[in-house]
Amino acid sequence: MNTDLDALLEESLLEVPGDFAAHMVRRLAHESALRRPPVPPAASRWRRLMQWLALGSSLAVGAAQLAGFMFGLWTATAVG
Amino acid sequence: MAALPSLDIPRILERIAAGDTPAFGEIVVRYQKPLFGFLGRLGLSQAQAEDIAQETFLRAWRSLATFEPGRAEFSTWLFTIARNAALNERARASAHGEVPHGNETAHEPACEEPLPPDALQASRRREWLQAALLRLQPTDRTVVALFYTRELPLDAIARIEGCTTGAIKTRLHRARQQLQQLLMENADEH
Repeated sequence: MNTDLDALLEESLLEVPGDFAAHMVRRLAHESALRRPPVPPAASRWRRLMQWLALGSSLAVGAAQLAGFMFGLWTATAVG
Repeated sequence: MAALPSLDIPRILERIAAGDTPAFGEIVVRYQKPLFGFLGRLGLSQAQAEDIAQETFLRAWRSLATFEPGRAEFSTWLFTIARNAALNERARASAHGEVPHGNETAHEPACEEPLPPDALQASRRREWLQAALLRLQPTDRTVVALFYTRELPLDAIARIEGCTTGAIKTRLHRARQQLQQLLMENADEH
């Protein structure tokens, strides 16, 4: 590794304006006033939770169907 | 280079979702310096970088709903936005014949007074570096610019660039060799 080159490349060629962050926040506040703020990330977590719940319910229904079929087979063979 | 503090991005997103818009300011403060560093190494002028940095944060804000913390690091997501915005800007500037010149890209003094020797040397070094970076292939330059933000591991850079980690290593090695060569030539000249 060339440390001189690394040090040179790590130097920032440009300055961050002193009020850049404050300016961005003001601009975003203005943006939020004009249009709906970003969709809450909690919504996507809720959606994921619902997906897992739906998957779990489907598995439970499937397992119940299979158990019913097996019970039917057992009953038929036991009677015979 | 001192490591910047890590942010609890999911927590900040929750605060934004609850209506705390200024919470996004913490993200801006955290990433503004590496972002300007990235844009400078890409060869953008100070004015272009300010526009692109604003556009990057604005696009990130508008697309926050699409960011899923479990799928990617926030830095990878943000620098993907920045890269695309910067490349679009460079393409637009090239199409209009707006090529940044050496003294336009470097820090400009606030007045016409001569700079102190140290500041002058630093300014010349930055101008030289910017010119050297502009001589790299654009794909190599982007990789160097991303790598030296020191924010992204190689696999994240590969994801941003849409190629393999091996290809990133190759590009980085090639770019560093070329820059080293230019550095030696520059040392011989002075």
